[in-house]
Formats: sequence, structure tokens, C-alpha cells
Amino acid sequence: MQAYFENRDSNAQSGQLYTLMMGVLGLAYLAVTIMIFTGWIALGDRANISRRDINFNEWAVAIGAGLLGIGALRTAWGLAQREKASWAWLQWMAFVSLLVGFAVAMSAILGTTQSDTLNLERVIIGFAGFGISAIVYRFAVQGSSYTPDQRLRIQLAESPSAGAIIGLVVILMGFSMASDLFLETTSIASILSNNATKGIIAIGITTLMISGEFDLSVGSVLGVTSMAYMIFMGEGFQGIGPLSFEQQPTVIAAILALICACIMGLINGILLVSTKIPSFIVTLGTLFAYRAIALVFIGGGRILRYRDYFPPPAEFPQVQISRWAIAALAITGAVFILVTAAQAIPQYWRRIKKSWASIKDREIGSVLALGVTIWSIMSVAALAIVFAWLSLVAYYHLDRVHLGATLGKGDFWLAVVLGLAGAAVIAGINLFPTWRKTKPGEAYSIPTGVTIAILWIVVFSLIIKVYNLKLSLSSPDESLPILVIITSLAFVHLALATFRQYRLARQQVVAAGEKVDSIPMSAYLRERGLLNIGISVILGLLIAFLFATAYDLFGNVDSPLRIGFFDVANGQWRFTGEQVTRGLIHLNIPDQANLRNAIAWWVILAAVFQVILFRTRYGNSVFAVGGNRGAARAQGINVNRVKVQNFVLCSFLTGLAGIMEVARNPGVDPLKGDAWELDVIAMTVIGGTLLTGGYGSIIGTMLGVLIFGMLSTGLVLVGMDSRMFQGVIGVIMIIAVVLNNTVKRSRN
Amino acid sequence: MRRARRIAPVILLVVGLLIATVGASSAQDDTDVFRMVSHGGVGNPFWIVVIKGMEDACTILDADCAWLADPVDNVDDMAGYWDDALAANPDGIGTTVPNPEVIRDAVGRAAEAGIPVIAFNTADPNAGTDQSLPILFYIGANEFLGGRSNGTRVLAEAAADGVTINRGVCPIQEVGHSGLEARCAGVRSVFEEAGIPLDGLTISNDVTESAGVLADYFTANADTNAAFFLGPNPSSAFNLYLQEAGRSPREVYATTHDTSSEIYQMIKDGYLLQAIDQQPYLQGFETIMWLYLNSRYALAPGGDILTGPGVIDGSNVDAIIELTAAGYR
Repeated sequence: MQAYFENRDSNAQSGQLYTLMMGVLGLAYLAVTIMIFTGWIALGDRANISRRDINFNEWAVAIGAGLLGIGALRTAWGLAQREKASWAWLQWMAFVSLLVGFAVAMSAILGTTQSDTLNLERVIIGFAGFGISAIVYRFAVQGSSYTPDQRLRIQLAESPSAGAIIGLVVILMGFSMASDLFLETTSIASILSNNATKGIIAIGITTLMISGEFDLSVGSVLGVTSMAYMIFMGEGFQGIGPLSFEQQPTVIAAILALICACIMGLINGILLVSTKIPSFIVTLGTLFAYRAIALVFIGGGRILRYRDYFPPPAEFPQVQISRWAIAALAITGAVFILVTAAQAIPQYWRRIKKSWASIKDREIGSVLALGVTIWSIMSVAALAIVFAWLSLVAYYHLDRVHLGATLGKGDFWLAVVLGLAGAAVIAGINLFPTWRKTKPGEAYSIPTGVTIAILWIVVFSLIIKVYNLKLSLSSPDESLPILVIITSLAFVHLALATFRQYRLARQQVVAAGEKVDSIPMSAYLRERGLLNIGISVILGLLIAFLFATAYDLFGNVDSPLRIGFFDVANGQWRFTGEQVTRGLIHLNIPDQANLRNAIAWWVILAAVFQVILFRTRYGNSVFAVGGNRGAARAQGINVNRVKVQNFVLCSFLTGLAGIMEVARNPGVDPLKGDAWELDVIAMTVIGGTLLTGGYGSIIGTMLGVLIFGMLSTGLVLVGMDSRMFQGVIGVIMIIAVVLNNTVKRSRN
Repeated sequence: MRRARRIAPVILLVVGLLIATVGASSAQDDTDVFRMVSHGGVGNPFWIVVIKGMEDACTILDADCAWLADPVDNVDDMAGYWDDALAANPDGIGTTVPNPEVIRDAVGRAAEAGIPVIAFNTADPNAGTDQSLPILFYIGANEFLGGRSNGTRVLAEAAADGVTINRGVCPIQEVGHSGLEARCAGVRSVFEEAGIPLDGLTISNDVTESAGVLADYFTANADTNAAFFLGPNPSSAFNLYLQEAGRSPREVYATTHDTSSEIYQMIKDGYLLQAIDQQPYLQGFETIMWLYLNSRYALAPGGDILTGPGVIDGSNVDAIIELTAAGYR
């Protein structure tokens, strides 16, 4: 290949051959995309020619195939131009096609367990793709210093949760091949909803484990907190007396329950540091002791049910919030966005100049860069408009004017504002330590990413305005396109960022001669915080949904907002099963899909704790305490205090999870949360956190939670005896930890 | 003074021993000592009613009774609790037999010591064979018959509605528990006669967790329209699943065993056709009574005493609710 790019004609034939193959491959991928949209390839049950009901699988495959097609054609074009960078493209395309071919063939073979007839075409196509790609790959990597698979391995070795990533991919592929139902919305919802609360506890356990301790008592703490919450709500408390549901005891009860949880954490921590017994023993003791509290207090082994305290005419607890608070939140958020955006403006200007210079040099990728920059500037402009508009909202609110009367769809717009505000707050949390660090001339600053995300919300709200859609949970199917548009735009964003980064990497290759010593996409992901951007987008989306759920119950704009507390804590997102027939995008979310707000809280808390652990002084001290206690002490860190704080934090999160559990099922039995500690510790360990402390990540734990959830749901779906579940989880856990250790050793 | 100090502990010890001996002997002479060993305890609402039955009987007889069980369900710990029971040198022992091998040795020792043993709640699965434990008789529901009752009821109601039962599911919350397996076996015998498949499913006593498993199961087996639950917590999980999936009554023909306020509500709402009540109060009360009669006068009934299946459905649920409030059901 070297010779081909150096314009030596002896190898021209092989180069032309590869060009041809890439061209054919690209056309094939694009054909697959088109065939999915026209309904010729049906993945799942709902196949018809009009394709008004493309499901998630089909969207994923169509988008994936489309991108691969563009990539392959780009490679072919680059090869034809004898452009050196297309060599790496060729390698990656061959590598990805190899995997795709294998997956296609395996899905056809494993799919026979369900349909009884072997889809021979798919097997042949799959294995053909696999074989040809393997041959291409074999020759394409000759002479290059880092091949794609090596790069993947290097990347994996640097990640603290290599075992979890491999496990996730393997389990995801395995189950999705073994059961058509696995990638259905219903199953995905089940995986997420049923493990989100455990995921929240796992965040606390991860933090604790990183500081070198762990907590066996979380299951009991969960039980006691749930019980305390229910008792405080239903029976009142000393000095305040039993409250009826109109008196809003819920928030007070929740706070008191959380205080109980914190006290239990404090006891754990203080016992640990004062007696110097290992945390295993201390928390094993409190595991039993706290369980006894629940057993004693729920006298007679009753099940404490909200409905027994407040029989049906009573509603579930509601919280009233002044609209002032909401407006204040929205404006604060907008100000924050503007400040962030203002930071980015000089950088945009520099980037435009640079892009323009590159365009004059006829560099192709820079057109894209210019587009991205213009997009960013537009987002700043849009932000200014949003800010002005928010001020208007505030103004009208002062005059007690109905938003609905002044602006038409006032309720909807307020919901958008709430979403924006939420996005801004979370973006702020996510960005605070990093946004200052953006150096001029760098590809894609985080503020840009966020502002783009915000712009998307504006754009989609315009689309909704044009199509006259409503964001209302009473007709939720109409608000679905919003979700879809944001998601697809986020996808475009990721794709753009990848392209952009690749171009930079290519420039480095050209500058440094032959040696490729940067790892484009993943390095970018890690260092420049594309992950953060993605998280911001997802969080913004989730928060918008959170507020939208609550918003449905707000009632009249003029009155204070009445929010169902249980809905906020862990409400169900309701969708109707009817097809969406209007708008750009058609999606089917079945009624049985049980998506719950705990998922949003889980993701938000995980993001917050990821920031706390990796970007703050406190996080540093947690790692220091777990990694080397003596050194930490020498650095002036109060080791004992950090440990006690971590125990309290862990119990606090467990308490939150307990309240969410009650919100989902308003009934507490004294054994609530029994044996959860083992599940949670398993999730954390699978996620790559070391029991010895000083090493681990929240993202890894999230993967661990997902693995756990996919196993429990997947085993039921494939009809395997769920008695096997614990055995499988055990084996997976050991394999994951062994993988983590192997990878860690190989890096050292 | 010094001497008095030296003597004081000795005197105290002697006096203490005297009192203890007198107390112990008086206890042995006047009060009957009974022990009940079970695989579950105060953590489960079901056992609370059994314990109340036991305590009421002991109050009447003025006997010294104790409930020995793990607060959480645990079959293996029963061996240890049996040792505790024997250590009290009781006049009689009531026990559940979820797994005969766990307590075989201890029951043998009781038989050697001449202590009468009655099985309650969960019968010895080997009863009537040469593998059976040396137990007098059994007081409790016939789980198999309860299961059969549930199975028959579901088929009858479905037939009345003109619905075909395609497939049933029997989720077990404690795998390996012989009583629960017997309930499922009862259903299975009915379903086998009708030629309908019945799936097994492992859930837990955690309501939300089990609701998730049920959701997964019904995703994978959408044609299942009969479900047989084996206790209060699984029924609560079923209720939660129904709410979350937005399903209406009689889409799935369901029954349960045992009782709880939520089960009554589900029966009223039509989500459950019936609940099999084994009348746990009787199990506690009668076991003590028969232990008393047997230890004192060597009386015994002609065979096992069945406390169930008693059926709770829409027709009698209101009356049952009142009795439950009083703690007898």
C-alpha cells in the first residue's frame, strides 16, 4: 500500500481494486439504508411498504448503514485520489465490515432457534462480507504502525472498565441475536427501570469503594428509609402529628427519611473510624441491626401501604410550587447559558478565520468545519433570543397574564423553557471545571457542544410550532417527535465531531510523516469531553422529560404548580400505543414500555458524581485515601473525615433510592431491599472498581448496572430458567474482574 | 468487713442458684413448654397470623411458648432452631417441613426423648413412605388441593367468558420450597389434564424486582393468560406490573394463595379471581392445642387436620376483611 500512495505505478492495480471494493461496499451499505426505509428489509414484526412505523432496530441499522456507506464511498474517493489518509480509512472500513459481516451471519444462525428456518441468504451474505473484509484488512494493515484492532486494544487497556465494556458488547450482541424481543422498547425499558434505583445505590458504593471501604448495609438502609418515609407520611411524627395528604407532609417526610439514612451512614462511618474494624465487619453488623429496625417498627409484619393510610378518594401526595420559582430557575439557567456562550465567541471568530484560510487552500474537510462554526454562531444568536424571550415571560408573569393568551401555546412553551433551564443547569454542573480550560483553536469546545444542544431544542421547538404539535402528556404521542428529533440531532452532532476530529488527526499524520501516534476518535472522546457533550444532551433531554411529566399535572398557568411527588420521584412515562401519523418521524412506543423517572435521576446523579469524583478536590481526596492512605495523610487530607463523608453519601443515595422505590410501589414490607447489597456490589465490581480502593469509575459502574439488567431481562426473554440467573451473574462477575485485572496488568 | 466482702459473692451465687433451680422446677412442674420451629417469621405478614394463633392458644393454656425462626425466610437455619427448641426440653414441638433432610436428625432426637412433634403449615413431602419423619400428624392446608382449586377456577371462569387459556405461569418466590412447589404442582395437574402448558418462573419476595421479572416474562410470552401467584408479595408485584403495563382485569386470569389487604383490593377490582386461604391462625392455634392434648393425655386425631383450602373471592371478601383487621385471617 505504501507504494501506491507514493505514486509508484507498480502497485496501481491493488489500489484500484481496493477503490472498487470500497465503492461497491459503500453502495451496498446505502442500499441497505434505502431498503430499510422502503420496507424491503424488515427487522421486527411491523413491516409494510409505507413504513410509517419504523422501529428502533430499524432506525439504528439504517443510520449505521448510512454512515458506513458514506464512509466507504469517502474511502473509495480518497483511494482514487491517492490520498494518504484514506489508508487508515480503508483499514477502519475493512475492520468494521468484518464485524458487521460476522454479526449478520451469527444473527441469521442464532435466529433459527426462533423461526426454525435458516435464513440462508443472510448467512451467505454475512460470511461473504466477513471473509472478504478479513482479506482486505489483512493486506490493508501491512506496513502501518497501528492497526485498528491494536488501537481498540490500547483504548480498552486505558479504560478502568475494560471488562465491563467487553461484557456489555458481548451480552448485548448475544441476547439481541438470541431473542428478537431483546431490543424491543419494552425490554429496554424493563432493563433500565428495574435497575435504576440499584444504579443509584451503586454510585454510592462506587465512591465508597474507591476510598477503600464498602458498605454491606445498604439493603437494610434502603428498607429502613422506605419504611421511615412511609411511616412519617402516614402516621406523622413527634410534634407534628399525623398529617392528611392535603397538608403536604410528603416533602417533610422525605427529608426526615433521608436524615434517617444519613444518620445510619454516619453510624457506619463513625464505627469504622473509631473502632478501626474492617468495613466488612462493621457494615455486616449494621446490615443485621438496621434490618431489625424495620422488622420491629413494621409491627405484626404488616405491609405499610399508602392506600391503607389514605384510601382511594385521596390522591397520591402532591407538592405545590410557585411559578415564581420556576421562572427564576429558567432565567438563572438562561444567564448561565449566555455566560458560557460568551466565553466561546472569541474562539468562534478564530475558528472561522482558520477555516476560511483552509478553504482557500482547498482542504476539503474545512468546509465541514466552517459549517460547524456557523452553526455554533447561530446557536449563540439563538441563545440571545431565548434570553430576551425569557425576560418577556418573566415580564408577563409579573402582570399575571396568561401565557396561553399571549403566546398561544403558552403551556408548551413554558415546558420548553423548563427543559432549557434544566439543560443549562446540568450543563453547568458538567462544565464548570472544564469550560475555562478550552484553548483557542481547538476543534470543538464544550460550550460549543452545549450551545449546539440548546440550539437543537430551539430548532425542534420551531418545527413543533410549524407542525402544531403539543407537548402534553394527555396526548403524548404528539410530543414524541421532540424526543426523536433531539436524539437524531445528537447523533448528527456525534458524527460531525468524529469527522472533525478525524480531519485533525489526519493533519497530524501528514505533519509527522508516516507515524500515526494519535488515536483520533477515542482520544477526542476522553480528552475533549465529547462524552460530556453527549451527557449534556442526554441530560437536557431527560430533564425536559422530567419537567414535562410533572408539567402535565400543573393545571392552570395562573395557579401554583401542583406536582405529584411520586411522579417526580419515580413516575412512569406514559405513551400511547397508537401510531404517530403526523410530523417527520414515526415511532412506535408500546404502552407496556415501563420507562420511569428513576432512570433520569440515575443518569443525573451519575453525571454529578462523575464530576465530583474526577473534577473536584473532594474527588481527588477520595482517590487518594483509597489509593494510598499514608500519602493522602501526608498531603493533609483528613482520611477519617473523607471516609465518614463517603459513608454518609452512600447512605444518602440509598435513601433516595428508597424513596423512589416507594414512589414506584407505595407499599413497604419489612424485608424491602433484602439482599440488594450483594447485587449492588456485584454491579460495582463488574464495572471495574477495585475492592482494594483507589481505582474505579462511575461510568464503569453504570455499565455494570446495565450488564446486570440485561442479564436478568435477557435470561427471562430467551426462556432460560431464571434459576440460572445467579449462576450466570457470578460467572460474569468473575470473568469481568479477571478481564479488568488482566487489562490493568498489561497496561502496567 | 473484708471477710464479708469475700463471702458476699458466694452467698449471692448460692441464692441465685437456689432461685434458678426452684424457678426451673416450678416451671417444669406447672407450665407446659412448647416450641414452634418454622422457616419464616416476623418479616412475613403471613406468619404473624400463625404466631397470633400460637400466642392465643398459649394464653389460654398458660403455657410457655416460643416461635423459633429466621425473620427472613430461611430453610437451612431450621436445624439450628431445632437445636434451640430441644435445648428447652419442651413438652411438644411444632415444626414446618419445607425440607425434611434439614431437620431429620433433630426430629429423630425428639422422638428418642419422647417429645411429640406435629408438622404444621408445610407437610412432610415423604409422609406415608418409609422415608417419613417420626411426626405425629400434620395440621395445615393441603397445598396441592389449593393449587388444584386455583387451576380449576381459572379454567372455569375462562370457559364462562368464552376465552381459551393458551398458557399459564406459576411464579415461585422461594425456589426449592416444597410447599410452594406443591401449589404449582396442583395447578400443573389441572393444566396437564386440560393439555395446557404451564411455565415456571423464579421471582423474589421483592415487589418491584418481581414486577420487572413479570414484565419481562409477559413480553416474552404475550400469549400467557393465566397466572398463579403463591403469596402476598408476588401478588403485589403482579398488581404493580398490571398498573405499569396498563392491563385491564381478566386479560390475565390470576389467582393467589394467602392474604393481604392488597390481595383483597385486587379481588374486589377483579384482577384476582380468588385467593386460597389456608387459615394460618388455625395452624398456630391448633398445633399448640394438639401438642397439649397429646403431651398430657396422649390424644391424637385420626389423621392430618386440614385448615385449607378456604376460598376467598368476590362473594366473601368483605367479611374476610373485617376478620383480617382483627388479626384472625
